[in-house]
Amino acid sequence: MIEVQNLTKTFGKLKAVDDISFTVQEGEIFGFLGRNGAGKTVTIKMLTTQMLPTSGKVRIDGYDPITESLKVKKIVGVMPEIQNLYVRMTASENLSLFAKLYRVSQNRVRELLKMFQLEEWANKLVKTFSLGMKQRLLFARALLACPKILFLDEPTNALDPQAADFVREMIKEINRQGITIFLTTHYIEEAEMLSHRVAIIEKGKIVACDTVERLKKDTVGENYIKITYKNLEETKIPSSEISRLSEIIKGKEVSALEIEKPTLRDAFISLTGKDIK
Amino acid sequence: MKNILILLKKDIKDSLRNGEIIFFLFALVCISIGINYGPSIFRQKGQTKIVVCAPIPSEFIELLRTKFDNIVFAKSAEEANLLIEKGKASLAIFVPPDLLQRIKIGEKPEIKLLVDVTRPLNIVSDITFIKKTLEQFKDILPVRFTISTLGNISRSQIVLDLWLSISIMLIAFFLLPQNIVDEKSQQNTLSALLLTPVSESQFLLSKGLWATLLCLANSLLILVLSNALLLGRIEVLLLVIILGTICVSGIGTFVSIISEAPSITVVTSAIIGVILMMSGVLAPYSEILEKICWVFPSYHLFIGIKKSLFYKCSFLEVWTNVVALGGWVAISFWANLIAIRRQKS
Repeated sequence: MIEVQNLTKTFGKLKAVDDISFTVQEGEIFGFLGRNGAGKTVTIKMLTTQMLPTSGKVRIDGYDPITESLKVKKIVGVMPEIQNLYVRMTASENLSLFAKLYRVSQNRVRELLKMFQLEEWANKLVKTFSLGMKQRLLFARALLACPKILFLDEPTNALDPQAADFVREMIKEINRQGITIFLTTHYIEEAEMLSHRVAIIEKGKIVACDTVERLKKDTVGENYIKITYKNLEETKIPSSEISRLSEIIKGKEVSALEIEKPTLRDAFISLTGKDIK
Repeated sequence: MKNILILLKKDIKDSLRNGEIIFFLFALVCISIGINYGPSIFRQKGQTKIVVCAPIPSEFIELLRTKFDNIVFAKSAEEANLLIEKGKASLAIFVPPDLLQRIKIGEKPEIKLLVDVTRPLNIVSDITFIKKTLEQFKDILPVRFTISTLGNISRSQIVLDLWLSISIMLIAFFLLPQNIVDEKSQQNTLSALLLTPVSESQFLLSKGLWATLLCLANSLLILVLSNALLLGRIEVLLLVIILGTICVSGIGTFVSIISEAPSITVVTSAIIGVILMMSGVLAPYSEILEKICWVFPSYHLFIGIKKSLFYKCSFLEVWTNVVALGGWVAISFWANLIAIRRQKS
């Protein structure tokens, strides 16, 4: 569905995206994980006709975003990181405007307002909306033209837990309907929870790209043994080093020993050398 | 075309909702008052071309030359009238051919002054000067002195051309950039629009059309309120207004697109707007300024409006202004397209 080959974007001397390649299969949720400034938004912009790459090749369902931008625009929906809504218009007017531009019926507008629980707020000005409601409206707008591929750029950023959960549930629901989802996030747990495959981007380069399980297995092994000492200090050792356990805890007062499964965070730290935050 | 109309409808609805048109009309009234009285300080000796018709004592002419460098002697009253009507002179002095004979037989003949009131910056000081000069000559030239104005232009119509031109500049350099900045940097909705089947050129055209419609509606309103809808050649006037609006709007749009921050847009467009306004207002009052300002689109807009409104010029008589404005339209559209596409890279 999405093919990216040797994609690069430079701004002067800065390489925002550095020779990245990956593919996204039809119907999958592809997590694009990285710190702030790693190159996630620039990549999305290049994939969705908003920015020209310095070099490299991109195909979106077989179309080139540079030369066939109109065809690409018709099959993708984008929920941007910034809340770019017409704040002096109502929710309904916002969706209606874009529905007209996509030549979509007004029934679709009503359908989406209902789906995103915005019916009661349909005729209220967007400037009176909470962050979560604006995010839901952005999500609805991205789905207006029934896209084949949905790009979600940090969809739960700065949302309260309840609103973030709603958005995550909607992502799962939309994917169940067969829409391919390209999800950028810096919330590791979110990527782990939602994605079928994850690419980790660090300083413009993709350092790993695989299923969540395989990333964890290939980078940090299968399980950890977590040792908690009485002074509340903690140590983790790979389960393969269990023979060294007695040597490690010798002379120390241990309060608990637990076997833990590795997380995507562990894989991220192992791959990039530091935590995401 | 459908996308342009959808965006245009959205812009009109939005401007009516947030009240910017009301603010604009208020600003327009303030500026028109300022223009009426403010720039008279720029008036300088030698800038008015006057026509003198029929014989007049050489001493009087010499005295006129101390104020007016540019004196033309017309062969007939018709020729003098024509020069005033076509805007080639701003003041004519009609002296009866038998002036001296009539004075000799003890009559008090009439000297007529025909003034082009569409040049309010000159007229007051010019008339005052001529009156004072005639006072000095009252012993050898005991004359009556009457003043008539060009056509049927009323007092409220005197600054109509300036009012029209400046309102267009205000829309192009204040209202339009603010509207684009709002979409581009404040609400960031431009990026959302460009993700739909709307192209960059459609977005630009919708903004240009919005500004043009606003200017046309505003100009027609001004003309109707001033009872001047049929004062000049309305078809030529509307053509000049449409071309001029598209052209200056293009420059305003360009500034908004290339500026990185909203504050830079506001300041830059205000500076460019004021420079262009001044070039349009002041150019006819100095030959050097006129030559410099010829390259500015505002000059052609101001002159085109004046010619079509007050001098009833036909298409053929304003073709240079129309062509210059057309050229600027092409340049500004092309520059905007490049600027908006450069934003992508």
